[in-house]
Amino acid sequence: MIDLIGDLVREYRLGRTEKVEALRTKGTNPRDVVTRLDMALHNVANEYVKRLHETTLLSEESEDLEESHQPRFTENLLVFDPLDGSNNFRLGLPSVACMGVLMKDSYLEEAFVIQFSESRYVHWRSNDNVAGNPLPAKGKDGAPYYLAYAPVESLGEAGKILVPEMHMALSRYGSGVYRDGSAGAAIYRCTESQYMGMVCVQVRIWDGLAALPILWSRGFRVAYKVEGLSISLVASSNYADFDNLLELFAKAGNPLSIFLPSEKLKI
Amino acid sequence: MGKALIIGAGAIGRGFLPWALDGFDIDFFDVSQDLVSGIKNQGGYTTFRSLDGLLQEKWVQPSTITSDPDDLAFEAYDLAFAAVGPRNASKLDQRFGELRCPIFSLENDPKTVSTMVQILGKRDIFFGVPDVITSSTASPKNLAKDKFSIHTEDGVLYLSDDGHVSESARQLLARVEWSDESLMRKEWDAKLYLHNTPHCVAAYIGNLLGKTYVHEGFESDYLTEVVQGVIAEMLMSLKLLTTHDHYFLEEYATKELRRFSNPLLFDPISRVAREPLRKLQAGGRLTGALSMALLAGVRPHYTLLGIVSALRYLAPSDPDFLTMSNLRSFELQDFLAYHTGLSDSSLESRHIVQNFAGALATLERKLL
Repeated sequence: MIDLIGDLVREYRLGRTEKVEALRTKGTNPRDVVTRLDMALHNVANEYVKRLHETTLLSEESEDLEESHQPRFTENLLVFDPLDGSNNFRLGLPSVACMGVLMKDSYLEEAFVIQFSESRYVHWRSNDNVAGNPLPAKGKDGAPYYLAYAPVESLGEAGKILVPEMHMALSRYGSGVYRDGSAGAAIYRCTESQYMGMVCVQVRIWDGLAALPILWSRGFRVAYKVEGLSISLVASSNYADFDNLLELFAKAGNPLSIFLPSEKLKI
Repeated sequence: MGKALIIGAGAIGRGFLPWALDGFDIDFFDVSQDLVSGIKNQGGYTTFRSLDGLLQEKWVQPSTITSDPDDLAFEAYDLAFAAVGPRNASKLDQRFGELRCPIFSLENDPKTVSTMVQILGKRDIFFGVPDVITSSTASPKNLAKDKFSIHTEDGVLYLSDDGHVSESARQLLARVEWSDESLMRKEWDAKLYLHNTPHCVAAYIGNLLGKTYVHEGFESDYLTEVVQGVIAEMLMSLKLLTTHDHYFLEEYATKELRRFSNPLLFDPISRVAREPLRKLQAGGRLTGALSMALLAGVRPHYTLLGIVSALRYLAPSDPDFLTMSNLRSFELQDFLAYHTGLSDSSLESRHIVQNFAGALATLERKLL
């Protein structure tokens, strides 16, 4: 996957000033933009997947994601978000990332996050469980949490209960709640000890999957639930916070499973 | 007799400092339990000093050597030295903040002082420059007698002086050169660019030649030419850009080649070349040297050859091996931006990218 990371970095460099233009928006939400760079990075991943053996690309920009065409998680998959934070990119805001996870038979094989604005990336591989600098990360005292959730209108029942509770809980556990439009950038900040952790409630799977192995490899406790193409997750470097957040998910009728990279993803 | 604590029993800590701390009772802390238990079991170790073409021998018998800070009497020391490596300075055990004496950071990077102040919550931490080449090992013959033995040259220890060291300890430190801030800056510039830069270039080119020890590389006339060239480029740049005394710089530069090629040191290339990404970091001893030469208008022909040879350093035992092996997956300007912090629009990155292929061809033609 390092070759893919190299190709994506190159594509971003070539397109960062010329491919800012929004091509379209998704659905009725004007903030959900697709820029020319989203598509350029998607195409890089598409070309990469063609070189792999029997692997399917599951990308945010894949066009045929209707239920009948969704890939099965037992296939070899590259779960990919070309530009997490497209609206930030369009506006010139720094929280922009690219994320990918390579899965084989429901096991996570490799994962990466590229944070373009800071010229950094983190790359996890199952065979050595190391992502970049292998130091465990621990949020500094008084660090905030990151919170992401699906658009309110598409949240399920459990999500509607959880979102306000998470705002309250995370405000208590950390020095605030960050929601700046890029879970990928948040993963990176967790690895740099700038965030205590992150919580995602029913976000799209490409927005959260990379967090599982990367933050696990940095000593975070991580739990998740995948439902169709959505994922909920909790990752925290404070183990008491972690237990409490898991309890809130369970009380809302949406219990999470502990993540271990040696096990198949529970889907 | 004074009492000193050495944090990090590596090359500088174990090899050089006991010579500079003659007259001190020395304790060691090191994270390597093998090293600690080995030295403890044999009751000490030998450090060899190269002086006037001969090796002097000193048996060092620590009162305490440990991997557990709780074994140390923090109030008992007159001085402490950290020599754990620049990357490890940020991982020092917080308990060292309980030391009552000043700590000198000998980490080849003045920024480690503020890092350590922050981590240890201790204000009396100062910078020091050990102007010395110390191997991390010894000759095969001496290793056969003592596997913890080590070789060093006869160096000079410069310590920052703000009047924070007791008079009694100062009197015991007869071999230390006390420096104020401007003098320390001069020593540091000289050490970084006239010593560290050409020294690591010698190691990277020696590696391309398949050598094990730095001094062996000097059998190659071309390696000698490159190292001399780097020294000349750095000397010219320092003269143009700093107000340091030119006689001092000339004198410093003159002795370097002799120091690097000292056959008594048995300094492994793997030690001098280790962590190439740190040396290639923006402002570091390689790309910082390039910046300085470009700024001074000095054509950095040999410095660039050193940078290119560093980018070819692939040693499986090196901490940077995995990342260095990713070079082929990135375009060069992207590799530099994502791994060394050199922006692709920077003058240094553009210079390296534009001249990389030519420099590599030159090295291959001359060396291989």
